[in-house]
Amino acid sequence: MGIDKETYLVEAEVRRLEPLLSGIKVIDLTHYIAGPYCTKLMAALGAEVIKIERPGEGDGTRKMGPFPDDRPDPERSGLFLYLNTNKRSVTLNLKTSTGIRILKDVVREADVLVENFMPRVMPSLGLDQKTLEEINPRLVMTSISNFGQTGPYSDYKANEVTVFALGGLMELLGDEGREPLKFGGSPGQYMAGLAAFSGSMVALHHAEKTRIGQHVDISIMECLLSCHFQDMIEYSYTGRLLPRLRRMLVMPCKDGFVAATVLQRQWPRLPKLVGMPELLEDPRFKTMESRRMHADELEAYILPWIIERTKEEIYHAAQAAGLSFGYIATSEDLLKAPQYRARDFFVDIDHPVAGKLTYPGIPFKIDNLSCDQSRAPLLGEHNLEIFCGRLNYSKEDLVRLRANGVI
Amino acid sequence: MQALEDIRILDLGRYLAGPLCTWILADTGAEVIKIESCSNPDPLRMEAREIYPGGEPGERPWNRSGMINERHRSKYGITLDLTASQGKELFLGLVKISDVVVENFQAQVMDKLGLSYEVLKGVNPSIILVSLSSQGLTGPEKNYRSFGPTLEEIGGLLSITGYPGEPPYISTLAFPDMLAGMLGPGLVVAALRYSRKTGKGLHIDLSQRELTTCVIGENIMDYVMNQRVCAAMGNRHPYLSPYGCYQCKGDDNWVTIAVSSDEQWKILCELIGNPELAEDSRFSDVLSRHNHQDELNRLIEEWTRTQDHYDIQLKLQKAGIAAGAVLNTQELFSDLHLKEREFFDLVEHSEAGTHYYLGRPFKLSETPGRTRRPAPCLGEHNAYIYGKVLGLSPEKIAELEKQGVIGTIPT
Repeated sequence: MGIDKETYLVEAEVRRLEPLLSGIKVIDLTHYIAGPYCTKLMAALGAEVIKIERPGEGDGTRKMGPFPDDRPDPERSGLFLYLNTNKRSVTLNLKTSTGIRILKDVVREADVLVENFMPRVMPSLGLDQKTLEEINPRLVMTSISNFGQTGPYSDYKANEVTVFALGGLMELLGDEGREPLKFGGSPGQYMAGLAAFSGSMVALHHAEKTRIGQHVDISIMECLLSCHFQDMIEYSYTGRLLPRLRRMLVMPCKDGFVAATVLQRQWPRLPKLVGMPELLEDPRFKTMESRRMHADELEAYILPWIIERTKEEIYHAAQAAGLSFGYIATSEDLLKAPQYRARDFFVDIDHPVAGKLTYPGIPFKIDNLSCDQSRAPLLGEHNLEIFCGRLNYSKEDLVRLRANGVI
Repeated sequence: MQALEDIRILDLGRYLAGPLCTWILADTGAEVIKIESCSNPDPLRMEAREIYPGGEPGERPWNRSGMINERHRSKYGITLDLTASQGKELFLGLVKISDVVVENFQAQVMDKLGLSYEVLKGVNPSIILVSLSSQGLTGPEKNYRSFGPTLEEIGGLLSITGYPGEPPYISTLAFPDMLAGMLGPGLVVAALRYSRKTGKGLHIDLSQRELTTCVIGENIMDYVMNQRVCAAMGNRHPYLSPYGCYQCKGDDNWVTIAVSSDEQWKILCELIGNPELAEDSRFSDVLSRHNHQDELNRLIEEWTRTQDHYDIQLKLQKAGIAAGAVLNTQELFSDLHLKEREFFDLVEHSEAGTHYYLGRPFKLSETPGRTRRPAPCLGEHNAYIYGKVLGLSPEKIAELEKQGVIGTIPT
């Protein structure tokens, strides 16, 4: 009715064939979490990502679990499979001159190169940003490191707990008078991956306009610091040091734990929910301050209602009553979560060695554009396609390169 | 030339996710227009949590709120009332000449305001709308109330966070908001690439909860593969030891240490003045160290308690061991590494004075980010945006002020 068939078909084609980063070529030298998560996002949005791995063992994450049945296998690492969807894999030994030459060849045609070695590594390989810029002036080179490319800490060793401490997040978490806490897992690494993705996109925008590339320097410490939007300004403005953030009330229920942020205007709904309207009149619980002072007593009243219900029951009933309750969701809970099911957040992907597995998907939707999710590559799976198909090496060359430890 | 100088962004963001995203974009050169109304200004102007310069609210406290002035640097600021028909009209006039709208309202707010993506697209077919909501704009829980802590819980992050063997630990940090704010700029720029090529806008619907689950990927995979639910392990590591946080000299000073090889272990034993420990069978290899980590941590803490946390960091790092002091805000502001990296910005604000503010999450070599202007006072750029950018006459602007549609004072 007003849209002719031809226009509609062309439109449908454009929406299907033109994901956001189509035509962008990314050379991915990263390993572990931060770099690969950055390039995973680029690949999901349509960029071609060529992951360059060390011959023999590949990305060190292939050695890290979880593994099915706890049996290590470089093609079955859950972390590797999750982080490296939609990428191609070639093997290349950057400690050989042939390896360097091949890398420079692929850099020539690339838009972005992402790496997360210690800052001295790329220069020591003759692959510093200035050299790569001479080969390809419009190249965006994104370097992710714990503390940045410069400065007295740039050579520091670090693990997740180290950057958490130096990134200022740890001083805020945990109980007073006690060891401060880091988040479980490695969320700092993922945060750096997001910063690297955003930084690379900004530089790419500039490079596509001007044909001038640049170096994007991500320091995990700084990207964690840059989102401290309360404690830093409080000190800067008032000289006050924020103590550890207050621990919130967590209550055990039938199958786990729940917790809530109850704002003053929401408070009247809580006594009603747990069938104790008399709490409304109780002077101990009238204000947020007084509720905090008498938290243990309040909890004692509410607990009987909580303890005989499940996480999901409490969560939905409380939310329906207008209270911002949450529950401590485990991986098991998340895979069953109704909200995630409705949004198709988890994706099933098949893999020739690991089989069909369920993975966390991409955390955003873009109109009805498909964000295709294809499996992580086997080690060196695309050697033939890239070295022979694009760089004009012959199959015999590959055999020789393999024998020489170059690929 | 600035990286994003050809982009105009309308910022409806509040609290953290939206503002962090648009701050990063403004810092790298985008023209970001922060929009709030006098009857409903950004909540952090009015609930400043006592964060005023020198603790003094002053005559116009809404322009002296540290939390506003931190996260809204480099942006222009105007007022208009989106709930009034004239305000809406002005907003759509801005949409027509802008590239992107960023918002992090609860799921149905934009629709309720009559500013759904369809409406925006009707005025500007290539507009990009970025929605950074708690759980996405679809699904049975899209209207559930969640704050940062709630999202950390229901996103899965807190099931693995806490002291071992104790109930989960929940803070008011709002990490999911930070994640969304960090991812947002990349999505904006990628979307712009598409819209400029095709002339077609996009609606990006990000779920902060889903993003939180993305950062516990390995735990999800462990459940998928082995039906195993991971418990919180405090500051411990699944297979490295010593690894954790150790108390140092003084009141509430701590250092983190992470040893990742037998060689480093031997060196650490030397450094703590206890080389025989390296021969102790309880700690001689990586497995036995992990099995005895409680004892090991106690022994190490006997030493760290006698040392300054910064000293330990310097000493151990010099010897090639990952050590990092738990730095508090004061220490961060005077940290030598951050000083050399020129991380902090000194910014003069017309009503809040001159202070240090945070630096940016990435450094660009050719088109560096920087604080382009201090955070706007309420309605500070009404004349510029309505006059110069939107092209309204001074008489029209005066009329809008008189009618209370725009202004500079909260009502």
